Amino acid sequence: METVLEFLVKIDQTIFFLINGGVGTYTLIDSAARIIASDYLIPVSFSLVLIFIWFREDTLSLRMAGRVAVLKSISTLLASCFLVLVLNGIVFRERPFNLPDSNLIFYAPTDSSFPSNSFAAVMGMALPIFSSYKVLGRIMLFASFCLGFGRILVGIHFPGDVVGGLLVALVSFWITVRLFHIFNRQIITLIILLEKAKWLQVFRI
Amino acid sequence: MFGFHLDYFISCVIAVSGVLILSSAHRTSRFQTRIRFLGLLLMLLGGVLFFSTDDRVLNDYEGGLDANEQAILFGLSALTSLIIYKAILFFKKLFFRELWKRF
Repeated sequence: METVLEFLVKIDQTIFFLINGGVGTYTLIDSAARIIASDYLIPVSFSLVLIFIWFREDTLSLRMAGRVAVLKSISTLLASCFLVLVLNGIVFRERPFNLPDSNLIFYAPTDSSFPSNSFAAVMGMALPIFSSYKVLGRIMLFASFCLGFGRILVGIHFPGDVVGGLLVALVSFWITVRLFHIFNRQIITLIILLEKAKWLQVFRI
Repeated sequence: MFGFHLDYFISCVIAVSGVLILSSAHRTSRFQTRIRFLGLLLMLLGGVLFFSTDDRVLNDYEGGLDANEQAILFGLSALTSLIIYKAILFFKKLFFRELWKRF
């Protein structure tokens, strides 16, 4: 078992050096990777997408479906963060920039490298949207993969961490879908309340 | 600009305002395209303003934002944008109804 793990870690490091080795070749790509991998661009853009879907004026049934997708997205994000927190308590993996010959063009995080928290979070936001809105969901998935790749390129994650983040997001999405299936009636009631209640009118545009 | 936290807040307010304008664009059938353009422009402006004014790749203990601060500030900025949007609508309804019709 240990040899399999060692083999996987070795492959992971090889792929990391293959991607991270390109740092410093093109300044423009490095700058773009720093912005894409940052904690702000993609998470905030996804939040803006959720706001757009929530407030978008459409037929009642489409609006309801959109709001369910938004709530699923937020729930999957929270579940992903919780799972990462639990995993960080069990597993600690050193960041790749601690390896010799690696290039770091980002700030140096101190928490565990595995699984990628930010990738799990953005993937968690993208998956429920993808299940309801194919085009928008594809764009969000692409942006999520760009963030994952960017974080490997800038030297703060191994490819295995990003794969771990993906698995965390998938498990979180599955849990969320099951929970939404169980509490479907209550969630629909909550959305109708948000839609119809007079005292919540201030939150409608 | 005005420090990392305030920069983030202001940029988010601008971007969320753009999204709110974009999501309610079809209300004004005459200026739909222009209003959508304005919404997109504000969204982009928020991002450009944030990333072009300073180095934003900062750890939370070096002056950046941690996840909780980010979530709270984003929520506050969304609420602020909503209040601004509502106030403008109210103002428009109250004083410029006739003027708006002429355009």
